[in-house]
Amino acid sequence: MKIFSWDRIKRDYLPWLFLVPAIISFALFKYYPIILGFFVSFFKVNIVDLPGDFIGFDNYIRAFKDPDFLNSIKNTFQFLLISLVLNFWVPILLATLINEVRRGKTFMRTMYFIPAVAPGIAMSVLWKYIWQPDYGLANFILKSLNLPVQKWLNDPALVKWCIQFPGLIIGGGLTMVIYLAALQDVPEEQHESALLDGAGFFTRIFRISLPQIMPIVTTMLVLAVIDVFNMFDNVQVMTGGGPIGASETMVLYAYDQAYTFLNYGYAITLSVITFICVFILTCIQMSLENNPLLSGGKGGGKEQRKAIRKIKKDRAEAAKAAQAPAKEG
Amino acid sequence: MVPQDDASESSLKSFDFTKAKVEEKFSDVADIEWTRMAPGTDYRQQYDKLLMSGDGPTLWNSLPFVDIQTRMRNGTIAEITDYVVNWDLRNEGKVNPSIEEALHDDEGRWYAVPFAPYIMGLLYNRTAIEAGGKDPADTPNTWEEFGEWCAELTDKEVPRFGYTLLGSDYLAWPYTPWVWSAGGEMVINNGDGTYSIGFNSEEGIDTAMYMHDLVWKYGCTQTDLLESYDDYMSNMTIGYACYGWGLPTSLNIDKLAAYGATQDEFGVLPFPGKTEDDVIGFAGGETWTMHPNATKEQMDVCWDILNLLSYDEDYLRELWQLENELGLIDPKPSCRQDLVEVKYSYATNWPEHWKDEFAALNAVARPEPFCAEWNSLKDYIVAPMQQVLATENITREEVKELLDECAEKLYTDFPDAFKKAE
Repeated sequence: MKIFSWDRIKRDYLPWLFLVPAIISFALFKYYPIILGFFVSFFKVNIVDLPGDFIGFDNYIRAFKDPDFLNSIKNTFQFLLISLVLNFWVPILLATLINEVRRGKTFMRTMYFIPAVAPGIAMSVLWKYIWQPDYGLANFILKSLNLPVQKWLNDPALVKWCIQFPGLIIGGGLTMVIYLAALQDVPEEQHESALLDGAGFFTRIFRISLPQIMPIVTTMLVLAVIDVFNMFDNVQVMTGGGPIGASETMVLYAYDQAYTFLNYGYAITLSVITFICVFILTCIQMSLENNPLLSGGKGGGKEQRKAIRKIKKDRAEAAKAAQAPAKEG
Repeated sequence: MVPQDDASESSLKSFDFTKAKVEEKFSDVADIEWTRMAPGTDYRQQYDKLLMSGDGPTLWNSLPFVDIQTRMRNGTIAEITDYVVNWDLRNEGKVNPSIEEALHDDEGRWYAVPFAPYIMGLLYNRTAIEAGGKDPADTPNTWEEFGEWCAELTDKEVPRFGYTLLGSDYLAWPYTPWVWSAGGEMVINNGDGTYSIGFNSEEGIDTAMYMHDLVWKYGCTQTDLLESYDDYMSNMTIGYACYGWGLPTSLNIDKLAAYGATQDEFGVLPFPGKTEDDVIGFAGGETWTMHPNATKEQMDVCWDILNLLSYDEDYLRELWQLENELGLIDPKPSCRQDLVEVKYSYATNWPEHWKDEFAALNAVARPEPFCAEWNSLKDYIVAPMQQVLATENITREEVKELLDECAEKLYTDFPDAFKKAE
């Protein structure tokens, strides 16, 4: 047996060669900073003589006693909740509806997608002026309708909704396109069979379409959680964390600790805690993905597909059986 | 520091002049590099990032003097005592002494020298005020009259606001002279290297209540308290605001031109006082500092460069001449105490009223507090003040409670910098 045959090298080693640049990039620019972050979080950083003094878990203890950080955790979870209420299900609904449209599907898909192409920061600045309470568009519309004007970003009760709302328009289009692509992968025959069985619109959506795209939904949910925990640029641009700390997110607070208070070690610790939160939530979500109740049956709809195949097979056999006596006759 | 790509043509010309002078005089120094701030960062971020990357600037002219007490303690700037105590210009009394106290520690160790002292006051937009039917020359100088005056100027449908508040993270900057104008202090020196908090005193509470009144009683401010400093300055430039915080020369010339405005439409006054005797101005300024690990040889060159750029009479005269031609000459007092008037004499293109206004403001200007963790204090006070400004029916007791809580937090978090007076 040849140990170094070209075929064997091609089969066993060449793929690794192609992966090397990506692995090096990930290791260097993702995993190395993450590991370094963990390491530095145990130090009181001295920026002139890195990493500084070792202080063990002091930064972590301080974090969980810091009311402002706890407030930023609370805010981040509230942002997550709002994101789920406002931004998460709307693209699914839109994709489902557009998927049902017979004509102009491409046009509608393009129209929803275009805002996603605009730079996020530019959109945040634009929305900041839309929400401007003195001369912004939002209050202009309310005034035109003789409705009471609002303080929008200046109102602690509204600020999180105002920050998340543009996400529906900016990021929603992109998410919608992903769901739509997944929905278009659902075999048409399944819908046709269901129609033959007398299934209505909602039955087909909830019994066929949604269960089949559930793995995509779960992945998008993981990404949505990661996005919320990394919220920084839009909050920084629109409110800077105000008013009264009502929109201060974990990452923004870590940023402030680094660049306002020069507490670099503490700031890294806060980032590590954020990372751990995201990691735990992602693990929970991944494990829920395997839950039959949440994934549309075992294996993301496999059972359902199997059932439909069986129904089809039974119908074909029934039809065959019905034709056989006629032939004999 | 190299200007950004979008800097005005005038600023670039001024920078080119400075760079040429340095390269001409220090042609034997082969490796002078000029640093540019990354877009979106501020000077503190930029400085710290460069230090962390091991590529920190040997000479830096952007740290405000209020940062020095904090940075001398955390070791991010070099001690330069030998240069300062043996400095002929200073020993001859020719160095501007206004911020000296902030630049050395109690043992007499020096860490910085002045680069650009500045003054700030009640910036006004003449056109906006006249559109409101008033004359800026009649601006009242007591709180109550000023509030009523601004209320009369305000028309939110235009929109035009009598006074534009900074409610974002820059809030404490203009808030400080208002506290002074109530006869209070933001911080009080304990004489042992620590400071006690003053903004929660009766005068501090008076100030917070007055700011609250500007919003709710007089209704003369904008509703948006979260404006960035740029938006805030835009309010002044565009004419949405009649009065604000600043200096006419801080307004971007290109932006003024874009809105068809001219420098002549702007001016500056001292802040009104709680009583007529309490009118006040504000002084700040940046400094020259050196890298904490700079070698003796590097520091020698740096010292010569900073002396050229801030203290060499021939160079300064040429620079002021050029800046006047470019419309850039500012009212910042020269670092050379003996050349303050000389600098102003070059400003022949200033609007007629500026010189008198700058002189009046200079006469009542006080330097910004400079204790260790002053910047932390400024950041800590933002949230409680936003609460005060945003709550219509807040009582004096509630304001006191908020300010007391903020003060306690500062005492707890920074025990080396803040200590209650005994």
